[in-house]
Amino acid sequence: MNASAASTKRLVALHGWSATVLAVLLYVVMLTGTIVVFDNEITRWSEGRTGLVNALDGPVDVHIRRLAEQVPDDLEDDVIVREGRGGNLSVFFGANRVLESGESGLFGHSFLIDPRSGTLHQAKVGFFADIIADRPEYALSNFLVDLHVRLHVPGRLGLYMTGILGVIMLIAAVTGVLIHKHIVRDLFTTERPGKRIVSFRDRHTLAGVWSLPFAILLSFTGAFLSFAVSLGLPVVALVAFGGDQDKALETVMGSHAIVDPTPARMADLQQIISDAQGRANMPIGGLTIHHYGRADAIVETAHSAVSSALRGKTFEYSASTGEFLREVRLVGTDHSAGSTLAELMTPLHFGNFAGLTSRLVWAALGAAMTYTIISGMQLWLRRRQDDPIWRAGDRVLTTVAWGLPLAIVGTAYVFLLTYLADDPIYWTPRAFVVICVLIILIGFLTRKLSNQIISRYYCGSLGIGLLVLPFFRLQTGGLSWGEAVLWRGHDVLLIDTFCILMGIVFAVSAQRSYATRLQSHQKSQA
Amino acid sequence: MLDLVRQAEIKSRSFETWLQKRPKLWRWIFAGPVALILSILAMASLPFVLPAGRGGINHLVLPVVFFPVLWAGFVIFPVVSHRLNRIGGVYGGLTVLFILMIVIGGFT
Repeated sequence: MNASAASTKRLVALHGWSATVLAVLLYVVMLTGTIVVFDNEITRWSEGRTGLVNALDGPVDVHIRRLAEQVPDDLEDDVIVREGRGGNLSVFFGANRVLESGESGLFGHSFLIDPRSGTLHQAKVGFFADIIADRPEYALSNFLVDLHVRLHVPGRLGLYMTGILGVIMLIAAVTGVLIHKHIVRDLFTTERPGKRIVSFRDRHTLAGVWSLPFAILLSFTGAFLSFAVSLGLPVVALVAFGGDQDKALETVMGSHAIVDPTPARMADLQQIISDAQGRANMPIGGLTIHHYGRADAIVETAHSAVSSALRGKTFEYSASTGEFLREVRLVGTDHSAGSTLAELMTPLHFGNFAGLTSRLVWAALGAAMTYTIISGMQLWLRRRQDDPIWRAGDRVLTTVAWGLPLAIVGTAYVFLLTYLADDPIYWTPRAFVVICVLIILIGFLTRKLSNQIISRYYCGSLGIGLLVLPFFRLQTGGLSWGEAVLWRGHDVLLIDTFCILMGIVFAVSAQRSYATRLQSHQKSQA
Repeated sequence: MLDLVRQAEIKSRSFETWLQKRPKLWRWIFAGPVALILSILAMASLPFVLPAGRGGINHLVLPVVFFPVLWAGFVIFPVVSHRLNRIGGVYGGLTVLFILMIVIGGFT
């Protein structure tokens, strides 16, 4: 065997093994990634809010001054203003604290008020992280995002896992390029008939080659997003800053240079908001005040991206004088190759740079990549079907491939049901685990049935599950389609339409598979 | 001079013979743990040699951005390359270089 042939053989082995070793986790990350491209839409679909008013359009300045009087001075260091539940205004006053229990973080008072009248709806004391996590309408979307970002594994370990998966995907994509000698011709491959190995290879090649550039882009940006804070920052801090991560973060992010704790009256926030909206050409999405009530206080205003931009904008103002200070970059204080690259990572990974159009393209390519993983696994198993160990893998693949979307749809049902009882944060992840266990159990109990039959059942169940979901949402107090049109709830219509369309596709596919089997059965009897 | 070249050649061949006793194992080691260690060392050492740039953060951000690419590259190289002693030499040399960069950069 010559060197080139041996290298190609090794590359093929690396391509197959790299994806096979962690195929199940890779599939979970890819499928959830395809879904969470629409995480904001899923949140709004979950909430079904009526109302068109931006919570920060009201007299924010008046509300903050009034609420500040009710909060102890030592808890006024940071003020975080966002849109809260039901379109209300959420205001948090807090400071970094370490409690006797050992817990540490931003601790303080949270208020939920009517953005116009200032009527208080809710007041809480606690850690900011816990308070913002307590948003029932985010339970489903946050669960899916967490599954995608860290596979629900807490701490850095989850990020390491998804980072490794990103690198594995990158290796599989690059080796895929190296082993395909006729990549342009492969773009136009048509599947050869029959369920032969070549048919599986044609399917995998077609899906893989079309999504190849996207696979490289997504795996690279995804691995960066996982490793940047979990590994990159600690390593750079260790060697360049003597292990001081805060100092490293301060250098990378750019810090507020002037420190002046002299008490000072705060400038009119309304004027700052108005100026920031003019500069960004977009409404304000959130506002943060650092060192409230001091001469060195800074106001940060956050804005979504305009249609021609990749990222949203963040501005800094002096809170004591109202003077515009600078546009905050994601990293660093000035334009540079490093800051530009870092800023490109998130929009390129999530596809949220050109509104719904780019996200639809990202979701479609994500679906192609998900299919590439499944078809690659099918090909891998088909080549080893004579080996009894790998033969069992075929059933595992069927259970996982159909089980995961089924579990996600089942979790959505439980979310809608528990949203009525205002406790979906507790139930959503637990429901997912229970449904996964049930599906594994069903897969085990039906192991005598052929893969074709069980796939048809899974496919049909998924179709019916998706078809009924929008109607179940309506019956559990969700926004009706008429209300959605009236209140510009396009997200509700988008997700409902997607569920119905995909439901029809899966149900029809299951029905066709049944009809074909019935026909061949009748033929064999005749 | 010729003797030195010949001696180096003989050493290189004996190194290759030693690696060739278990080629698969060595490729796994080079593409597995060695590739990970090398990419972390690269990320740790590059801040000392890359220019800071106008924003003053290029040397800190670029190694972190390219860490996944470096790791993938260090995994693929031992698979593509035919000669094991070349892989060993390149990876050994890079390890020494990265460690030197960290040591020198850390003291200056």
